Amino acid sequence: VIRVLACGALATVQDRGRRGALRWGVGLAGAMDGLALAGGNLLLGNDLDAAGIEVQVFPLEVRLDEATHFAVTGADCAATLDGKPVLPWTSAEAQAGAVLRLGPPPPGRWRGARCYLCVAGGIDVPVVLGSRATQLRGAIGGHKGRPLVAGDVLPVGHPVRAAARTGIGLVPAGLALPLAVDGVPAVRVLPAAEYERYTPASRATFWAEPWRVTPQSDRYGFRLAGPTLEPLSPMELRSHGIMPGVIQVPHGGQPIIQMCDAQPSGGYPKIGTVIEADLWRLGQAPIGSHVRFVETDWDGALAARDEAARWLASVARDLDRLHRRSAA
Amino acid sequence: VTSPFNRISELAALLAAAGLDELELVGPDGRVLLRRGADGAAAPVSVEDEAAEDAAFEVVASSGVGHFLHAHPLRAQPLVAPDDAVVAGQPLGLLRVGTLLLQATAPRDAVVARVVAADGALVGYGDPLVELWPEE
Repeated sequence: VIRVLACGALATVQDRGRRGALRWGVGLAGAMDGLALAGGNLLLGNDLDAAGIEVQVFPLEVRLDEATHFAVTGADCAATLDGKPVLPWTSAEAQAGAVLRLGPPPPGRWRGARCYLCVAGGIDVPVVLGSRATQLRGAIGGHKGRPLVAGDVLPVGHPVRAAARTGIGLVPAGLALPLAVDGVPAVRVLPAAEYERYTPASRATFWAEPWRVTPQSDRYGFRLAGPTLEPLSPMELRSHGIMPGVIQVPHGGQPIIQMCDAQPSGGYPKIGTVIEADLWRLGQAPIGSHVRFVETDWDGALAARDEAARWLASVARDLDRLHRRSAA
Repeated sequence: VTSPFNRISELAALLAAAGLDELELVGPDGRVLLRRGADGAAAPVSVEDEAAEDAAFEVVASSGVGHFLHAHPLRAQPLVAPDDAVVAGQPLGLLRVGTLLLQATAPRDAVVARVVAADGALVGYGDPLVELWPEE
């Protein structure tokens, strides 16, 4: 088991998300950076639906009661194991009773916001509606449907494969799949239903200006600050289904991007939708950083999804080759 | 007609000449893996530097073909610098091979004498990466 010794706010057990339950009004939840979680799971030989711990407020300190293979992916959080540094995105082994500490992301070449503690076998909390993800709004899934607190004890599943090799690292997703415009991290966006109902100047601004991630940004949604987006005429819409990635514009003209814990419906006009393949990039955008929107289309969105899938497949292939070679 | 099995000795000679430790050919009908020597492990091998007159320091050599990195790509700070004391198993540098980052580790407790390979340099099997002074 994993014992939480110290924990900042809003650390949660997350997996790929709870798909297929939106029809009952149950949102997706899941890791804000799904590629980081997937990378950690691949390093440990886990299935891709294994759950890890998402950490966004530091420090997090846990004791691993049994000898465990683990990896910390996502943002670099200067992890230490019994005081010794552990490299990010790298498989490592903890002896029984070892204490793992994750600290705030240090300045580096790539700045992220969230890190993922993955363990061989995954965090084995009960599956609720097909997923182990913590759904904070509905208080279901994860560990008792809530963020972790000091004193929590989390069960670890049985490793799928024999002991994973330690000291194997991955080139982090943020570096393997870079996307920036004028040096500002970017995400690709599909124009949404009400896009044409904004002034030409606002539409141009939407694509041309950087948008600041305000402190009112969390797993539910990111409130952005930038130029005011003006509709051609006031819009009043009935509530309708929405998804993570939808960019709404409330009356103040400052966009909100719905994120993993988005409620399943809303009534604000939608100017765009961040494509699914780029949501992880937002998940790593720190408060106060800027993002740019890049216009794409349906084919572009599918190509981006394929690109991410190809990266994961390459990782799996490279790891498999390494394991076969070392087993030979 | 062009089966690689007819040319294994030729391929092996090419591998030896190029200093590569293995060659994998993957085709629609199968896979051929040629590996030189008994040691197939990916962990960097450690070889004595024959050139050193007094054999005072030890060379940590590359286990294969890849790009040698002084620092983890998320970090600006190099993993080690000259005069750093390192412990057995500690990563001295990283070899970027495809999507992977493999560690060149210290074979024993030692002090870093020199990081030989340039940051980002393409290195091959056996190329010197880091020189270590033995622990006093």
